[in-house]
Amino acid sequence: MAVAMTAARRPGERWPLMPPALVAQGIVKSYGGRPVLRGVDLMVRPGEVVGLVGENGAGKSTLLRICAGLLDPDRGTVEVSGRIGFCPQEPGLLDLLTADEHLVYFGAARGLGRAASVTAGRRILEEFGFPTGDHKVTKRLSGGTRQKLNLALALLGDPAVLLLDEPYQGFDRGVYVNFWDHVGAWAATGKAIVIVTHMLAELNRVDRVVELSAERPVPAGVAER
Amino acid sequence: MATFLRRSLTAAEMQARQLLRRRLSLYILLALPVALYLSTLTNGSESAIQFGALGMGWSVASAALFSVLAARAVEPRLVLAGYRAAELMMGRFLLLLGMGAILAGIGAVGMTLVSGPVDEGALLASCALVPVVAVALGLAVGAVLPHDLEGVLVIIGVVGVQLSLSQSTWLNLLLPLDGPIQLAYRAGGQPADPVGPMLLHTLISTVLLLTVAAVVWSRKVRVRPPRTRAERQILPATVRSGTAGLGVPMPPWHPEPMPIRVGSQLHHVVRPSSSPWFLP
Repeated sequence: MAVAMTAARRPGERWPLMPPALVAQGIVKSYGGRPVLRGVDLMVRPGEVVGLVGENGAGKSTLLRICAGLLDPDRGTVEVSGRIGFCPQEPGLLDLLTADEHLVYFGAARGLGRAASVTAGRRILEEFGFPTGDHKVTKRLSGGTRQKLNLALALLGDPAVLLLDEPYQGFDRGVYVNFWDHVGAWAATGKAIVIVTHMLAELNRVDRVVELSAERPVPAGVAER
Repeated sequence: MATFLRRSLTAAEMQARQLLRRRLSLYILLALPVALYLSTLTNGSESAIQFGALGMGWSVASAALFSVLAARAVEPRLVLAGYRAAELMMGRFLLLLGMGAILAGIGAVGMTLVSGPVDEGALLASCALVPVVAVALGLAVGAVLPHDLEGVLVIIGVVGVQLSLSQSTWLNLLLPLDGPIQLAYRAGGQPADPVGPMLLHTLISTVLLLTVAAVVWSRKVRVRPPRTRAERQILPATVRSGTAGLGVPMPPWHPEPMPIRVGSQLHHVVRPSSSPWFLP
């Protein structure tokens, strides 16, 4: 059972007059008859950071993929204002392209020219200590370095909504701490951020924690604040 | 249109870069038709040109298959980033067609010099058409079948059946590469079907396969675009949670804390005030 805590600052306070950037309502999803999401609602305001936690198989990644539009819910709707940046758990990279080529490839999708894509992408990568002078193809990069590129591709083009599925996997300690600092900075620019995480020690760095549990709903009438 | 073309060319370029870095694969793609052609030539076979053409088709179809399968995990993300599935497909088609044309050019020159075909026009036509149909075949198989093993087996099957069938069987009509192969028969001085029906067969096969590839692949990589919220739209306060039929109203977007809905699948826990995150 979740524990209610008092908030000194309400979610989305930085941008209190803005409508929600992401609203998912009544999301239902089953795999092979096994229900994974049972009427989930999620609302994220600009400037708000939501941590999505839950046990394995609770449907965290599924919910994120549905919010991104990569997966159809069985029922429910998702509304988004602005563009989505999605960072999947497994780096969706092309093994035989370099980081710069990835930036050009993804940048073109967002209407950026070659130079603009590389400049913007490298700026993000350098913040995470990515060796931008190293022109290796991605299959020759370490797992953490690949993940940095994965994250940079999600951030390319300045999306309004960031959906990050355990984006720090493989990061070393320094970069990991730095990552959470960056999350705050992104939120300060008005991005709505949802982070799937197992790092419970960092949950005090998000506005809200949303726990997806596999438990069955209790009968009506016992809900409480 | 300019955006479509620019993005398609970017996709083609990136796929070309990947292909060029797979040098061993490129050597094998080149070696396969050469091996088929030379092996039948040394046996004194009159149908060496047919085997050479079929080998080119096999190579190009396999390259198309693996280009689709290699991109399967990434392309939905590219579509989410802003590409249209058609742009990615067009980029791949252009790249493979270019690669097939180079291979066919080498093959046409080589077979003309070595075999001295009876009908050079038919040889050129065969070499020009083989990559077109083969690309379409590889794209369709890659789009429809979920794994590389199944795809490879289907392509081997199509090529193998094409090799083993006699020329006059009606079953040839079911094989997509039959048009160019019949032209290769003609080039080698063997009796073959009339040119017109062969070209029509090639055209129909290519269009059908490309249609299957485009429709299936578009469905596989499509992104279901979330509804876009209007700039100043206010979430109605009557929106209700679907969870467990509790009927707990979702809060309006104004800054009220989200509810803790105990017993539902979702628990919203507002973070403690002690966090350094929002300290002034």
